[in-house]
Amino acid sequence: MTNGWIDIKNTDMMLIMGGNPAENHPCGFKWPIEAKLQRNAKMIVVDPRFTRTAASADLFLQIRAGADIAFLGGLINYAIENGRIAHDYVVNYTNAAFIVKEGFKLPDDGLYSGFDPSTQVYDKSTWNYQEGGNLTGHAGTEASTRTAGARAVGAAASKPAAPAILPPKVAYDLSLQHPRSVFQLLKTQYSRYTPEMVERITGIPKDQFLKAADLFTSIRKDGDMKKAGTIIYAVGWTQHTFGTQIIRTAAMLQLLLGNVGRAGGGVNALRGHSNIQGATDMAGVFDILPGYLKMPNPDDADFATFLKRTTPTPSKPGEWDSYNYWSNTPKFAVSFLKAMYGDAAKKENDWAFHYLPKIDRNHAWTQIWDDMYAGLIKGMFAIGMNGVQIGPNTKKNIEALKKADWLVVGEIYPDETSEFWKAPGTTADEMKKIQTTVYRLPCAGFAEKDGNFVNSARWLQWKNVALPPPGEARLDQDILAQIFLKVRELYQKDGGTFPDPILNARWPYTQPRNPSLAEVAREINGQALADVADPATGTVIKAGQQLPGFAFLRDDGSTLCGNWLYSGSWTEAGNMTARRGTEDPSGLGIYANWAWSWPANRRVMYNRASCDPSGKPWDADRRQVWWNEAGGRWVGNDVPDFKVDSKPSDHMGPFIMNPEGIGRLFAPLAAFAEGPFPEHYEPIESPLLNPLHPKQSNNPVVRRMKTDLDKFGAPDQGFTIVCTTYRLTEHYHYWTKNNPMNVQLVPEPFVEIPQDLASDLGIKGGDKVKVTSARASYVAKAMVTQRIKPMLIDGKKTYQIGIPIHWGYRGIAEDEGMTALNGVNLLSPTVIDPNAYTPEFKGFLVKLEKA
Amino acid sequence: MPTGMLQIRAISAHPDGVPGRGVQREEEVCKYIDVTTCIGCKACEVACVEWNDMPFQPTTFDNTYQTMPATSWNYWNLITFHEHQRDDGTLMWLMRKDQCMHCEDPGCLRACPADGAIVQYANGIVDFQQENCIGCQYCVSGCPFDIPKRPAVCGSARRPTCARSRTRARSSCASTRDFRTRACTIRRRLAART
Ligand code: SF4
Ligand code: SF4
Ligand code: SF4
Ligand code: SF4
Repeated sequence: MTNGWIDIKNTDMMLIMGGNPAENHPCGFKWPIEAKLQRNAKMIVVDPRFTRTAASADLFLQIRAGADIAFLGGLINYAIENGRIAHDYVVNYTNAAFIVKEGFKLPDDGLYSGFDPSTQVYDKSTWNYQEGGNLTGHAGTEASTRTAGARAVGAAASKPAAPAILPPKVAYDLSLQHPRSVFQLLKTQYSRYTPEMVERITGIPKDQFLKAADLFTSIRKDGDMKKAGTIIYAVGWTQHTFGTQIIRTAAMLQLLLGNVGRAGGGVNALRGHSNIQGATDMAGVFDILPGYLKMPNPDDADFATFLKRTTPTPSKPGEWDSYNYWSNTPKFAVSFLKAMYGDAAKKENDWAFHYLPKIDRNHAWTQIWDDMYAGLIKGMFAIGMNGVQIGPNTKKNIEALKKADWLVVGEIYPDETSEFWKAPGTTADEMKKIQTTVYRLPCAGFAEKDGNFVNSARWLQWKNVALPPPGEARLDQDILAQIFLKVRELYQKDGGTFPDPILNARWPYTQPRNPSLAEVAREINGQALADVADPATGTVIKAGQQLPGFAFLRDDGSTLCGNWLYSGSWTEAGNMTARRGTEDPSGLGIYANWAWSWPANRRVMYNRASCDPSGKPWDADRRQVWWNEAGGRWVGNDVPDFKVDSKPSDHMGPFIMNPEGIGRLFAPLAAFAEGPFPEHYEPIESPLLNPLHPKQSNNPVVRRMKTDLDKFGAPDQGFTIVCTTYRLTEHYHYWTKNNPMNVQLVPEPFVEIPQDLASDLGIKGGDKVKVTSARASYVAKAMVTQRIKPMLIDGKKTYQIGIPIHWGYRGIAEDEGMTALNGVNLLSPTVIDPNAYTPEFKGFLVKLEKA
Repeated sequence: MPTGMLQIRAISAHPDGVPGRGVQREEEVCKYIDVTTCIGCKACEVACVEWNDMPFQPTTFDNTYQTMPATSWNYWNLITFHEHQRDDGTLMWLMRKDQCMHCEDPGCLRACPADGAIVQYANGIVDFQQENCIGCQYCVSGCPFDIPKRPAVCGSARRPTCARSRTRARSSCASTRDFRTRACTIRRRLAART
């Protein structure tokens, strides 16, 4: 979340879409309710189903799963057409005024400039800004923007060209009139997303769409800047082959409306697990290091090359300023290497940079299973993850495990992964042939461990152990440390191809066999290895002390830090994340003394944008930070997310993590795989061809898996019903099917079916139905409901159904034979978003019949 | 908290007046349910079952999100789900909360022939005293909300008991420790009792 849960109470307008917080985040949903009750805030809910969130909404629209960009693009078009945008904010805090390079082409035909159909890769060199100066008032004088070096499209394809970089000085037009200004391109791009087009793609009738568009943008009626609107989403947006771009469209809309950085505003991802935010921050993803440092790749011959590639340089109008906070990458990276390798990381050996693995290709979750299915991966640790159930195309995952040599499962219950070999349908003969050795390690549950959970609001909240793990169950760190120490012992004894990273890994814990998480948390925060002084204040942190924050990190080896973003969470004053102060002097719900929020205990990110260019809050009643002229500093109720002494006249951009300093309406170069502005593409399995460009219906750079088990269905094969998957309030993933109380609340799996479709097929509530996709079939009872209605998609009657995900072949109901003993992900396809690698669990095609 | 601390206002089938009447003033409370903010999360159902240490019971899928068709002798708090289509075609999904309402004039208490089986405290809470119950089940028909139920295992009726111990400090019943949307709370009774 850019903001936080509690901050939602400050909002005037909510768009909840791609998420179902009343059901999946019920505790947090008190804040939307609070905003409704206390501020008379309006709530718009857009979802394929009428959910429990929709039941609380002022306006509900039923959308076809996967049509989100069309809807949001339509909102952008509406906001621009009706002058409901935050003009000063847009000019000063976004790249609306920047001029885009000549040769850049919008995707009228579904493709941006630079596409190579043979490799399915874009040459992104035209996806860049024009170098130059102030062109305000020179709109249309093309010659003034033409630079000699501008390459023609296509000519750039010659292979080892140096990677394009952003120009240090960007040409701009503050009147936003230049035909190649980001604003004009944006306007043209979304002018195609008319209410009629929105209706054809999303199935939302034009009048309803206009009602929602008018309501949501009403906060900027007549140029008023006081009000704030928030967008709230969850995995309903990420689980598409264009999920990242859906979220980007939302971010762009929020920038246009001037809602980012403001109390009650923002783009707010609701995390579906108590620590998913922490998992991402700490690099539980293959292509990043902790704190979102980039992973080295094989072309990074040495540390200097890596730093050059990953440390951005400012790119902005000459007259503006940019903090470019990622310019500190070397400090973060050296401190990280010191935390990893301790004394073995020295200046002379490039801080042991060569110890780090280099990522040569995609190793995302779906790729791992694909590699295992192809026999490339021979063994797997599945700890805290029910791999068979959580991924798409369950059958393939089970087949992959059958080919592995070994599997280690760390869990609190026997689950579908640890018992993959007895998945329904496996014959006794087949079982005999499975050679995979399975090791089951009983693990501790969440209440049996201490440590931090990082919530959606980016708070690190320390929790204590409630009770010891039962029986032989062990803590994760106990298991992992012992495996590590054993591997290290083997390297010591037998040597190996490259023992150094293992032998030299820093392991300073009091109990090496079972490190305390407190010690690990202190290491993640960072410590001084020599005395370090803050040049601004003169404060000296002595060698061995905890660092007060990331401003103290150094690139000379005098600091170590496991994750720069968490620096400040465990200082000399103690564990900041265990704080439970309930003071809230501003009444904005900041609670600065409750737990600790990254970065730097700041509760709303980009909060400089809550003020106008002169440094005065847009809304005097919700003052977050402001410029104090007398003190020459930014001060406030929240921690300023800004260079504290940068005066407003310097025109430093509020989005300090971007080299431009501004929010990106146009995302240049390699920021996104499929283009600088989001475009609506159809899901891989879609009931229609994309009405915008039928010849380029899907995302052109999508990744499909290509094994014999990766099959895709089409309407002409009878797969005509759009299917989506989701969770219920009453259950949590695949755990709670082992808990009698949850099972009592919702005992069995079901399929939600629109009444009309049910009567077409003669299905009554409670009848068993069979849902079939190109990959497999799934059987469960029918829940016939009015809460999903038939839709008109491009004029054609189209049905959607929905299936909750919580059941499989292990659990209370399963053991009693109450379910059909299979998981719904048997149905979903292995096809992933090219940016975040998330599979398309929402909006694939099925057939439905009575079982 | 010992029961003796609570002032009793009414006693089922009790021949004499209520002992100690008027001696002690209690803050009056009532159950306040805001169906417009209830999200049907059923956390209150779970809290009630757990607080009262009720056994789990098998349920069956019945074409609804509702846990079971009605409250039962060992399930005293049930969210009911209703789909309703307005005339303009838009939908409402209504969640109602079935549980003892701690009536101001409790039908259960009026119907009960056993001395002291049902009492009403001065703070408004209606309570059941199992040891005085004769199992006639008149309370079952006396309650307009269909809350007391005949248990499967013995002759007596069962109705919720635990509000007594939890409402003293207006901290609320287990099911109203609702950290969700505060749809259900124990509130001070505003209207004066006549
Ligand atoms: S806990 Fe509250 S919001 Fe949830 S169902 Fe009960 S009354 Fe409704
Ligand atoms: S049991 Fe029924 S009549 Fe008695 S107090 Fe409760 S709701 Fe009222
Ligand atoms: S069953 Fe009901 S009415 Fe009969 S004695 Fe018991 S509490 Fe009173
Ligand atoms: S007062 Fe006790 S029995 Fe009644 S709903 Fe609350 S928890 Fe359940």
